[in-house]
Amino acid sequence: MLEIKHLTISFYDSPVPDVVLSDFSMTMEPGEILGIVGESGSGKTMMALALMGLLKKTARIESGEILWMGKDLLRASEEELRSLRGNEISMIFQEPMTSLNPVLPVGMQVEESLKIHTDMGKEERKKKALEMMKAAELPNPGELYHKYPHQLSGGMRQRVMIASALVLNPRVMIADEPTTALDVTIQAEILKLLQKINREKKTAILFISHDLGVVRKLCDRALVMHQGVTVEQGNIESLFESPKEDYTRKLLSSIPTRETRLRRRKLHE
Amino acid sequence: MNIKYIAKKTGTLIITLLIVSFLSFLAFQIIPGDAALSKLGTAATAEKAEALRQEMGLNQPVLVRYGRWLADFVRGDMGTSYSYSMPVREMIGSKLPITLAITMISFLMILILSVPLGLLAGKHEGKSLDRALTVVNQIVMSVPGFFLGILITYLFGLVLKWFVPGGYISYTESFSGFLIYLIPPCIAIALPKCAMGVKMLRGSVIQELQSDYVRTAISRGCRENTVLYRHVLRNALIPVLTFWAMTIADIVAGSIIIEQVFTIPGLGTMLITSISNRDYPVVQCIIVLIAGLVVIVNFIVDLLYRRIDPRITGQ
Amino acid sequence: MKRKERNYNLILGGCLAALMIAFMVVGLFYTPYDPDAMSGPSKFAGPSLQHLFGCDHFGRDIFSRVLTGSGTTFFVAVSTIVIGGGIGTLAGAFTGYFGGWLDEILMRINDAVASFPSILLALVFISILGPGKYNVILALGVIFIPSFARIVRSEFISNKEKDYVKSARLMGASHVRIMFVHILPNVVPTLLSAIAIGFNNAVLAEAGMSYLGIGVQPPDASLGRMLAESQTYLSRAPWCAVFPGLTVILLVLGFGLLSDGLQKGRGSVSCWR
Repeated sequence: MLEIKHLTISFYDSPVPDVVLSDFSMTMEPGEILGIVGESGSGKTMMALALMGLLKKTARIESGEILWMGKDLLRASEEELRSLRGNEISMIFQEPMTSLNPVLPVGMQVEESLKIHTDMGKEERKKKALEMMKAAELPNPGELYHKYPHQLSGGMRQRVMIASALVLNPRVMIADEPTTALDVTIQAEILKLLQKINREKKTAILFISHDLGVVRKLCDRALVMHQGVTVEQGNIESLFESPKEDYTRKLLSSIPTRETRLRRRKLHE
Repeated sequence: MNIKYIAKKTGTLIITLLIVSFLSFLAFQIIPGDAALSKLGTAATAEKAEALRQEMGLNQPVLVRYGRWLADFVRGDMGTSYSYSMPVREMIGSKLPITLAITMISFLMILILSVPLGLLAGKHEGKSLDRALTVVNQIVMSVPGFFLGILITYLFGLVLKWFVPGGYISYTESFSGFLIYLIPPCIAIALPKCAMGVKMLRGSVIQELQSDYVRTAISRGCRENTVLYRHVLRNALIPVLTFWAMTIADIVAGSIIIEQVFTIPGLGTMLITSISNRDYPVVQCIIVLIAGLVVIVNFIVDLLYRRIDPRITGQ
Repeated sequence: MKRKERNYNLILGGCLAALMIAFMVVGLFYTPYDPDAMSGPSKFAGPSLQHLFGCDHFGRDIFSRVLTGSGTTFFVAVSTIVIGGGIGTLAGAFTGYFGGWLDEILMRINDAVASFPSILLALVFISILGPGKYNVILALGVIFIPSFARIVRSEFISNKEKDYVKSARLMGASHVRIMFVHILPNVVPTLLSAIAIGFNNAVLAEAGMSYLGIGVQPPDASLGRMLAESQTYLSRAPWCAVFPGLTVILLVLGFGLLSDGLQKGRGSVSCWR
């Protein structure tokens, strides 16, 4: 369904171009959950943004192909890309607070993709949005529909993001560190929700995370990245049980225990 | 919008109005030579002045005099002009609509011009269109309104003869003629402010375009213009709103000068004449009116903020 | 985003402002002609090599008049900045450093004054004090105090918690020493930008008031008054208006760019009024 071949991306912020992703390849099948693991700066987010055509102006794609249903997205027109975004491929981000528009009501943001990609009427859109919010396990959708992002908790905001990403039932949802900014308990709930959605709606999920523990819980297959290069990929079991590369082993040994995770959280705050 | 919030804000508004009016009242109490002497003019003798002071209540404490002045003011008695021995209210009543019209037309011009230009420049940041706009902006911003008025008079009035300089038409005579005559002075007031507005909005748009929610909107398949108008505009307007509030006050101040340039007999012209004639009741009344306007505009902007930015709560 | 960009605003603004300052300072001491000398034959003479900017309705040399007028403007603006900036900086430093109830009261007054256009406040002063150069300076100086105080205050508040201040305190430096030897130099860049804006506001206010006839009074030459006089003869001698006006524009442009350039990199959307 989705195939990336030999993708190389550079940044031109400084006089010397900075390669953030080099010769990256992967494939994704319908309905699977694929994990991309790596530290920050490993190029995982850049890959996702390239997939959506959301790279900054200073970034340049040097070579490679992104094939969606056999069609190269890098050569597609802006209009073609637009018709895919939010419709066939959607995305949720790390910071649910800043990723939602602070001055628009939640409901409007959930149903925005419907407004863009379908010719549904107002009532129909609202019905669909409420349905979706319910599927994202948001309590009291009817009331939430008119609220603003700042009135919601972090977990609820991410559920709103998920509802808005899934409202058109896309084939793939890219989730870029969707639980990093959340509390541990809420993190678990969101992961469960993603699993449920994958099971019930058959939405494939490209799950990007630095957290190996989370990837192990959620994904079928994973790909380990380091400094823009794919280190290792494969079935989640074999990757965790018998890692072939040193880097993967090092990552595995640094999976946070409960204490270290708490400590790290404190540092972040 | 919640009633409690409005009630609270209205309370603050009234208190501010009281303070501002008291300060303006106080300012005119420290003038050397008091109202009695001014009224008597050359006929003043110590006894006569003292008698008149008694009669006018000038010997009472400031607060008492302020209270009486305020009560009269609210009832519509704004004092009597020294120079014309005419009720100030009558003098101002016919001038107020002129200044209000100038303020409103100028403000509309600023809105209509600066919003699209600011968006355009912000959207095309760094491109030649933006660069050109920025340069023009920087220059226009530096032109004092009254000099712009003189340039407009020369170019469009004297050379091109599109309007007759000094040919003011009263609104009682012909309303459309009145409005048309006001266009050049309003442009002179509006252009420099408009340039500042463009600069503000441009900066604000550029900043908002970096936000995460813009990325989200694009990831949903929004067109560039939809992102700009549906998502960015409202967020970008929030910081610009304060600027607009200050602009209204600035327009009123600017109109005082521009009225002289285009010989419009508005509030500004009367203020300047009264200052030259030391006609304090008139000066005081106009200052209090303008100060009141500034306070009320700020009040409205406060309410607008709440409408446009849901994050602001009643506190 | 790290690409180094030349700060054109600073370079251009600095050059223009320096040029205009030189022009104004010269105007205080030297003019090619006596700015008040009337001459029948050169009445309404257009710009030429003898009279660069032409002559006015009394045959006075406009270039000389613009020079002295600029000198007056410079004097008024600098005096205003000295009064407003000096007292404002002191007030801002003390309120920002010590805080407390005095700070509260001053800031409330500040907010009230800041929402009124400065020219309007100046008119109130002038109507009480009467017109004239020194009254204009006094009025504008007093009016500018709050804006300087506000800027300096917020800088002091953010600086007083910094490590270098704490270490100075540990070394036993007195409050006054910390405020003026340690903190003040760090405030200078912001202060300079505020001074440039204040200078512009003073120039515009003075020109406006003199144009209205309630600012600088004759015999002092002033750009605003020249503009007011030129209006009567606008169709005959437009140069009487153009050159004084152009001088004001270049002044404001230079200092505006300078202030923008000084603020650049501080991430604030700047705007001057």
